Amino acid sequence: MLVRILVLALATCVVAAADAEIPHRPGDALEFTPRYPLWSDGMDKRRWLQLPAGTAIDKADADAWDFPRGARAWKEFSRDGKRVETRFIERLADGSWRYLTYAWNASGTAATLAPEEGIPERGIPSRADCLACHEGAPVPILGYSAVQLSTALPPALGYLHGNCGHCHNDAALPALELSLAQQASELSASAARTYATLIGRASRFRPHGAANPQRVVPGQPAQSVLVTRMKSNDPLTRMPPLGVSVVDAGGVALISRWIEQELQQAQKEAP
Amino acid sequence: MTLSRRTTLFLIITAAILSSVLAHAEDKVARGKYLVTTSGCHDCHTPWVMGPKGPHPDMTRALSGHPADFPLPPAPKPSGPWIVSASATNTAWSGPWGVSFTANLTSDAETGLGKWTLKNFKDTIRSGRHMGRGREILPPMPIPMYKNFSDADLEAIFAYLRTVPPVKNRVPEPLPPSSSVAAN
Repeated sequence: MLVRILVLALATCVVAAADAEIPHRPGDALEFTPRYPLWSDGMDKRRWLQLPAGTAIDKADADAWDFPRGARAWKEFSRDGKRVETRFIERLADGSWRYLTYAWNASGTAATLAPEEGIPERGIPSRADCLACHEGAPVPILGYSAVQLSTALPPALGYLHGNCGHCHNDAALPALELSLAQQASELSASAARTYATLIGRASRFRPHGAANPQRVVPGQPAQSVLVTRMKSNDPLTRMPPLGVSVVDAGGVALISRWIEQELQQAQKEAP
Repeated sequence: MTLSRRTTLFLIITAAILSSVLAHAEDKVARGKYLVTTSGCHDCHTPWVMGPKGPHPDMTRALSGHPADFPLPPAPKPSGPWIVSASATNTAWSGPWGVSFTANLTSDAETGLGKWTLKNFKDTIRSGRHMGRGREILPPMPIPMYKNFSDADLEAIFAYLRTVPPVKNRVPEPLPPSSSVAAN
């Protein structure tokens, strides 16, 4: 029994020590930029992917790429040229995924493993919050997908996919009946589903004082709860609800313009 | 009509399995009811009314959350060590987190948990976030304690909540701290 406890303690220390530094990123790791990136308070981000030698992503299902065991991805966040945070995801031998987050020091020269509960005052998410976003999508490694290579999406739909679709899809939150995720295998059908679940649909979230709020009112971004929540600084109201504390003014402008012009025009032209 | 021995045996086994499954489901709902009634859920999620012996939960609106038709003026300002106020219904709470309103836990499809999945429910209690992904669940909901429920207990609680008669009641959204807005 004593031997077993010692072995377990030693294994725990080895694992902890192994995670103390950012897992080594080989020079040949593939750098990648998604077409519809997630807004992260205006920080610059770089992403790398590394697959074990001789393996490849199984892309048979265009909407749920199957990454090989041992796949590793790094995302590095910088502000004003200084590294702030590095997030790491790895697919383990049993098929599950693990998530690690590293916080860089003030000069951006050394990084340490962030604790399980994250570092809220620095905007570094907890491990539970990692899962909240990453495990809502068909594949936890977000950003690497056929949709993110697509040039066929209207920019507003691409933005909603990249920023909202990992939670707002029919599998993760079926009760809401709000689908903002697009599917590469059937782009026009998933776009139609997005329009149908947004336009003229009553909003579950009801701003105080609003009599009959709707998710999107074509031509009226100020009356659309989608925009209200994107623009809010109140943590109880804003969307996305985690990982963000600065409003994405460019994203708000894009979605507002889409509601004001394109959706109104489409409505006028509808039979 | 006579049944072959094999058919009779099949029917007996099927009935036994069905009966066992139903009994297990009933056990789960009963266990869920026990947990809901002993873990204080009614204390805040069932509106209180004043009776001859003082306030008590109005079980005609069991677990339906803060009543949308109960207008509230802005909460009183905190004074000294008294930092939390509760409404007469025990369903609205004001404190340093803002004003929270207890959720409708009935099976109503539009305003309760009727469309929620078991995973949504478990994720909510485990993460302390609405549906496991949204805004934080606010005090006085004892998430730090309830997150320790076992999977089996959370499954039992959810199984029971699905049997609670639907009450249509759209609970208002929480208010941010220092809000002067009245709930409507």
